[in-house]
Amino acid sequence: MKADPYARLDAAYLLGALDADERFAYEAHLAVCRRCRAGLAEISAIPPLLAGLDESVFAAPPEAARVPVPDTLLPRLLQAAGPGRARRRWLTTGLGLLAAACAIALIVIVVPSSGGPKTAPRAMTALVATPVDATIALQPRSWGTEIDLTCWYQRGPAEPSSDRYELVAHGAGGATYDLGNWRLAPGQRVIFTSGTALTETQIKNLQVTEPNGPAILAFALPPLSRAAGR
Amino acid sequence: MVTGRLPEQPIGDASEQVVNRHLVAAALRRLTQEHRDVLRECYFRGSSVAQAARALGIAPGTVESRTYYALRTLRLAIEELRDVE
Repeated sequence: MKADPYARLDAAYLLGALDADERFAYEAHLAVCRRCRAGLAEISAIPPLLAGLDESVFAAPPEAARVPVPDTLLPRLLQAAGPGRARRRWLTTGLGLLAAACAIALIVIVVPSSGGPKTAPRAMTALVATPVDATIALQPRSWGTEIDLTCWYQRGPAEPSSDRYELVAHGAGGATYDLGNWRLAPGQRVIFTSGTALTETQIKNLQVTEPNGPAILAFALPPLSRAAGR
Repeated sequence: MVTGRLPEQPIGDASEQVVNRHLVAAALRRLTQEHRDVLRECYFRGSSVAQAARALGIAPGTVESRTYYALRTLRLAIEELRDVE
C-alpha cells in the first residue's frame, strides 16, 4: 500500500509554508482523509503560541540551560510511560521556569487542553488581487465563537495598499458585525484573536477588509456545517 | 474549500489552561537545534518549504518531516511543563 503523501504536511500547512498549489491540494485532501484531519488537529493549537516570541529563542541555548530531547522521545511519550528520571528532570526545570514566569506579568494565551480536537485553521479566499493572505479557525465557546485569524503578506512584487485591516462577520440573518482591526507590517505575521456572540451556525461568512474599503479576503462557512450545527 | 469538518467537541472553559510565553520559550529549548531551525525558518521568517530547504541546506521533504516532528515534540514539551502547575 502506498504511503499517504500528505501525511507529513500538516505542520508545514499550519506554519504557512506551503505554496498556494500545495495548500489547495492539501486542503482538498483533508476533506476526504480523516487521518490527516486528526493529525492536523493534534498540533493546530501550537503555532499560535509562537506568536510574539523573539527570534533569539530559536537560537541554540547556552549549554547549561540545555536539556535536549532526543528524536525518539515522541514515540516513548506516546506510550505513556510512567514517571522516570527524564520526567523528574523536566519537573525540576519546569518548576524553576514557572516560578520565573509567575514573577513577571506576561501576555497570556489560552490553549485548550490536549483532550479536545481543535478546528483546524483554513485558508481564506482572495476576492481581489492582494498580497495579504490569511487562515482562519473558528472555535465554539460557551459565549459564542472564538475566531483566530493568522495574517501575513505573501512574498511577491505586489505592494500592499494599506497596513490596516478589519475583520467583519456577516450573520446568516443579514446583519454585519465588526470584529476588530489590526496593523500588519511587511514581514510580520499577525495572529489576531477575536470573537462574536454568534454561534458558528449563525455566521454566514467572515471577511477581511481594508478600512472603509472593499473586502479583500473571505471565508464562507460551509452550508453543510451551518445546516448541521447545533 | 474544505467542506469536511472536524468532529466537534464542546470545549468547556474549565478545560482550558493558560500557557505563557516563557513556558513556550522553555519548551522550545527542549527541541533539537534542527527542529528549532525549521520552525525559525518556516514560522518566524515566513519561509516556504522550498525557501527553508535552501536556507538550511536540506531537502524539502526533510523540512516537511522536521516541522511535523518539531510541532509534535513542542506540544508534548508544553504539556509537560504545564502539567507541573
